[in-house]
Amino acid sequence: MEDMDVAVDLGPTRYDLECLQLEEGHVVGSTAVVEDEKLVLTNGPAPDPTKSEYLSPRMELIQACLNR
Amino acid sequence: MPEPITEEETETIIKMAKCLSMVCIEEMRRDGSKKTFWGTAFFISETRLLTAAHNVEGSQDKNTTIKIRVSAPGLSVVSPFKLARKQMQSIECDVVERIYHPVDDLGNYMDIAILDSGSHLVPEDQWLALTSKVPSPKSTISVIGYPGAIQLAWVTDHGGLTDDDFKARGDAEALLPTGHLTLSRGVCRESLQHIIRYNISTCPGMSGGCVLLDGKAIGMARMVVLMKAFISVNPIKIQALCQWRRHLPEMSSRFFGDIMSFIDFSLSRSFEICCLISLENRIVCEDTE
Repeated sequence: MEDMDVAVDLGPTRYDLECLQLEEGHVVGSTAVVEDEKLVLTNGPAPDPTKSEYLSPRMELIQACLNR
Repeated sequence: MPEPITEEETETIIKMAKCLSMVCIEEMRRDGSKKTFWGTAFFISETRLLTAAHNVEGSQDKNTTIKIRVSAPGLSVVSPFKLARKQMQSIECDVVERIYHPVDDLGNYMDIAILDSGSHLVPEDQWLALTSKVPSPKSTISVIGYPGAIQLAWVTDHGGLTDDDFKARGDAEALLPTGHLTLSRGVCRESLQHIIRYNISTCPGMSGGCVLLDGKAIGMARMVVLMKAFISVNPIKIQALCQWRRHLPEMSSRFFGDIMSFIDFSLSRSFEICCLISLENRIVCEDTE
């Protein structure tokens, strides 16, 4: 991590917009980075293909609110 | 589960990645305080970019001056701090239009800003291609953007984590490496009029990135929607818009550019169709009045 001399803020009002995908409490995702004109898969934890649902609790909460 | 990426799709995504830039926003207040934010933006014409409106929220505050610069489009890796410190090539931008208002009672917002790169022109192969398809539930979609630094507090804020916070942050950083142009894939959960919901891991910094379906950014040219959006955003321009419409047949589709595009504003993991109004044409229109 580089040091920094600038103030960092994730945003005054949109702090919680982005969410990590959780599967049974573990962070998961399917991501790749663009490198040298190629897509290179990252080595982060991938979702389990045997599980059809892997919503984060927050997502479920939001869903519940929407369905209210 | 998202479908695996095909070779054809990969090729398209690589091309599209050339249109994306990291955006750095410096907010300077009258009291001397300064804050810096990062997000993602993408070119849709030689001088115009789209990003999320909340990225440039400070532009609405009279007590705040903002400076916006973006990295050259298409870089695989951008150091957010070098961009902030002007230690790399960057492009100064201005906010041309900011559309930010609720679209329903559920907390979803129209959230789009149009930036202008001034005299800096980018070639046509660095403008984003759009598709008019709307993703159906269970279809695989992707978000592409530049993840920012992942802070422990943000990770901790995810309720339901069973892992140690530091392990969770490590996993998140492995999935979404800071400053690396990253594609995150997942499944569309539902489509609701102008909003889709999906299961995709994203993080701060990816706001303003685009949503891809079948290797293209989701968007469409639809005059009727443009009209509605325009009227709701800026009623005083209606007359100008009507006049502008008369010129449509004379304009190429590129330049009348009424485009609806999904932008990653990620409210509760939702994406909203954002309406892009071609400001070039607004100017043309206003000049003809």
